[in-house]
Amino acid sequence: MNFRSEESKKVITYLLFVAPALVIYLVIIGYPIIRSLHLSLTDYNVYTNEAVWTGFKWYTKMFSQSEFWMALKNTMIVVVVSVFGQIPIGFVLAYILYRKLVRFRGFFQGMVFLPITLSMVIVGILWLKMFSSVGAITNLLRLIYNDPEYTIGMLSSKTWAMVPVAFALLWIYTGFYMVVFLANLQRINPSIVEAAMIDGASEAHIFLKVIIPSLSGVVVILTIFAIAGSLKGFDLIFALTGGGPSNYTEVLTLYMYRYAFTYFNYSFGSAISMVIVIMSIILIILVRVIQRRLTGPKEV
Amino acid sequence: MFRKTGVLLCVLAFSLVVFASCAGAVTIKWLHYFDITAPGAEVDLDIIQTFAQLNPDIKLEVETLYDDAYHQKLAALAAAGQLPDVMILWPAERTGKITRSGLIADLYPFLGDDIDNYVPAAVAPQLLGRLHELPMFSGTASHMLYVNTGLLDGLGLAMPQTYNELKAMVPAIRGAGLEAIAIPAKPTWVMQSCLLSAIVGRTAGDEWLMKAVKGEASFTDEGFVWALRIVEEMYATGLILESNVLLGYGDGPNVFAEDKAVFYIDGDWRVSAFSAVADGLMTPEEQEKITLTVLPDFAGQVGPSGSTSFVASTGLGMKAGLSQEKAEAAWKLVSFYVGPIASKKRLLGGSLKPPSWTNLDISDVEMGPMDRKLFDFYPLHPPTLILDAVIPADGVQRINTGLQELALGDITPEELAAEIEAAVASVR
Amino acid sequence: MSDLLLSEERKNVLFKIVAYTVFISFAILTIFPLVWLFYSSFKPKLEILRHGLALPKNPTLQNYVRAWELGHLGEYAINSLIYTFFSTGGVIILSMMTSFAFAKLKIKYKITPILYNLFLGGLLITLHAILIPLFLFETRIGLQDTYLGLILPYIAIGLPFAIYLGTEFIKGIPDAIIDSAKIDGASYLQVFLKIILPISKPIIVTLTILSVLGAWNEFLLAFILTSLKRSLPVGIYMFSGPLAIEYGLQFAALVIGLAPVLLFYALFNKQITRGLTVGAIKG
Repeated sequence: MNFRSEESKKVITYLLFVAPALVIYLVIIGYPIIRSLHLSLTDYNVYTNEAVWTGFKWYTKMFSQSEFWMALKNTMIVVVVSVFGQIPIGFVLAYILYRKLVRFRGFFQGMVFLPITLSMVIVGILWLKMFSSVGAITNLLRLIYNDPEYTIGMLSSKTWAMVPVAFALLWIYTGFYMVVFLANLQRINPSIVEAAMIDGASEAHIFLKVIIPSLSGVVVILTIFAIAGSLKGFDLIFALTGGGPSNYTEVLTLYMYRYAFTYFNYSFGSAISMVIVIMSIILIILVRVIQRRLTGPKEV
Repeated sequence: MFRKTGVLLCVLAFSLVVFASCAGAVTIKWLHYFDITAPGAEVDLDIIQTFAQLNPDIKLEVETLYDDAYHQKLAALAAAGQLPDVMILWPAERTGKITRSGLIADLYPFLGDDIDNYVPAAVAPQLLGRLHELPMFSGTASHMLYVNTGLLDGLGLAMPQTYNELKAMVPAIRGAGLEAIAIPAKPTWVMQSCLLSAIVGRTAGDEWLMKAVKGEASFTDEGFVWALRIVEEMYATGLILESNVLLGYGDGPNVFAEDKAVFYIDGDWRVSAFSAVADGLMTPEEQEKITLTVLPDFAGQVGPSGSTSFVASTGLGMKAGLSQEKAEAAWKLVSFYVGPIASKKRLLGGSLKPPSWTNLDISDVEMGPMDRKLFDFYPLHPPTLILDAVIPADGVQRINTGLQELALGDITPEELAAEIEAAVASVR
Repeated sequence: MSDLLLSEERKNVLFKIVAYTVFISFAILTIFPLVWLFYSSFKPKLEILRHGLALPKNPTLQNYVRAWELGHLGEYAINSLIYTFFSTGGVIILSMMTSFAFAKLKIKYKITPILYNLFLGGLLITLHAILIPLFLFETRIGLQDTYLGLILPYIAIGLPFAIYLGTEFIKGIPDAIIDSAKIDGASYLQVFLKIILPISKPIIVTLTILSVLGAWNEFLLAFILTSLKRSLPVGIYMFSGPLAIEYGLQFAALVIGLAPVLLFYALFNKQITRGLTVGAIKG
């Protein structure tokens, strides 16, 4: 067995092993990304398959629509709720479990985590039914207020309509962050904590000096997860509110869906999807920059 | 080429229905729009089967879809240059991109002198002045006021003759713990299609609307703003409760059938939700108490009295450029589907909208109380245009979402009118 | 001194109350809708309309029988099984092959880092960015509304993360094991099948869970790319969605849609929890 044939065998194996995945990946993900960018800069007629170059026409149209700004605002609300709601609450829950402050920990952990394993569309429809006129929540509130016509004003308020949506998102995704934090907490060497306790350190001291520093890395990863996930979110809001009332709960993904697949304006839809991608990249870079700012001086 | 000689093959495999037949068959591919879960679905299957038996030389390949899925598939097939031979089309903009593209045959040459057998409104010119589909029914009224006369009588109230009379009833109705008008306005198109369209037909009229679409008139004109003011007022006075903006489309009929509202606004297609024999929401006795009418007149309105918003119904259309043999077979199907046999079957099966085919003997058709009323509804109410049939998508989108804002008091009629004008102007 | 202790104790009690309140609230939010849905699905029409909260007085199975038939749920469940099975299989086979090549086949051309980062870039891409071109592309070549037309995108979307996990894992396998097998005359294929795959079992289990749940619950792609060959979530959305009138049937359909995952979760709770979070658990 000479070296050359061994090396060429290796190369052939490499190619054969990588090629199938690479081809599927490039055709299904790579090509569409480029095509999407192209579509967004043209006026595309699906019946003739002709695309006429328009430059940034769709982008200017988008930025001039009040709908876009509403969708952007709501998308940012979802991002904020994820980063500043789900992550801290997830941490608190994990810490309670870690310090064994409650019993039935397995059960509680299971219940908090369960929602993210379910189909978001089905969960959305279920919650919709809960709030409908025959739903449990509506009937419960009507019983409590002793008013057979009681309706939840928040659901139709321009200012507050996102609150129930944010609440549902909080309920669904907090479990994910809880489990990740818990796993990382459990990796902290217990002897370090014990040693600190023997030294007479207070709970607060242990928390601030031992626990928090060990989690800074994972917080950054989770923040990126939360941002990317928030910008992708579609199923739950689509099933729960459909963006309504009016467009008070519309997010960018719904906005894109409507123009592309109910009004069949594929070019405009592509422009919206490009904005989503660019936003997600900018936000993730921003997180990295902030991370460097925060940790930088200490390292120096 | 499949040759299944001597066997009448009738496979119902999932929702793909294939009706095959004897040798030498012409195959017709049919993309069918229809809700397989809807009450009365068997009737449609029966019509297809009857056609297959009467025309053993034509082999049908039927694919059935409904709602968004249908429109996506049709767009997909059109884009791929694989349009089916026969498909359900809409008279106006809903399938406008396809019918305007020249991919669909004009049916007038096929129709010839047979045109006299149809209700004139049904076979009136469609987009581009052509007839792209042969409508099944005389038409669709997108606005209908369902009245629960049982509740009305119980409150000692009479049918309102004017809009002001209707408004004056609110305190009495609300005092009795009931809703005045329920409308399942959660989907944004509902208020536009089932409410505002009919009001605009009265306050501004069709002539104005066509001018506004072309840019010869503006959506900020008084007639249109007035219509918006009426909608705003309906919510502000409690004639319609704000909570209706959250009432799901499937929830609406339940609210009305449960005697929680005296009036209900929806399209004529919702009659079957109440009256369908097997699983309708109302018993015949309950249906007796329901009157089908329209919003009463507004003082000083310019449009016709007692009008409703109306559009020609859907029907089958044919792909353009079929071979002679195929075109003949396809036309046989298209005309059979709305002809006397099929129309009669539909009536007997409980889908009781007046067919586009005239001179049909309906004396032996058993009708539920509400269906009889539906038959009587159309001659009494002159048609006006439905907004989304003539206004381009960007404008419709602003009207749809804007009406909910108006209902919730988040925008004024004048502001909304200006925004609608701007949205339509951007694509005129 | 005793005052101080007491207050410390009180603080603890207070803390416990808060802790229990939070967890019990979460548990109720999860359990209550499911329980309400479950018992409501056995209620006849009028009981649902008039007594929204009450338990069924005359329980019936009719809702299930009719929802199953009218909604074609059996057919859609089979479609979902097909999508899930083949996309999971595809992701695992292709990602393990690629990961093996990236981690252990050191060839002289330095393309591994480029290709690896190309795949990792996929983690940043949102589904919406590829949706329209994918729909148009599949339509044009006739892949839309076929099994393959949905399985291939599911595989492509699953690959980046699977290759990331797989490569990191296989890198951890000592080279010595592979070298000694090579000296014994094994081919690379044999090394892959007989050594790498068995050792990688934990990561394969994780990938299976991720992929099964992902494909089974996926909605948007299935909604856009299929019209007849719908998956279960799409079928249930169509059946129980905004146009549906009969509550009982909708409830039954929702239960049918939720039951498989709930069962799966009850059986593999630990593995699922680990599997779904493994990507983020790194120090």
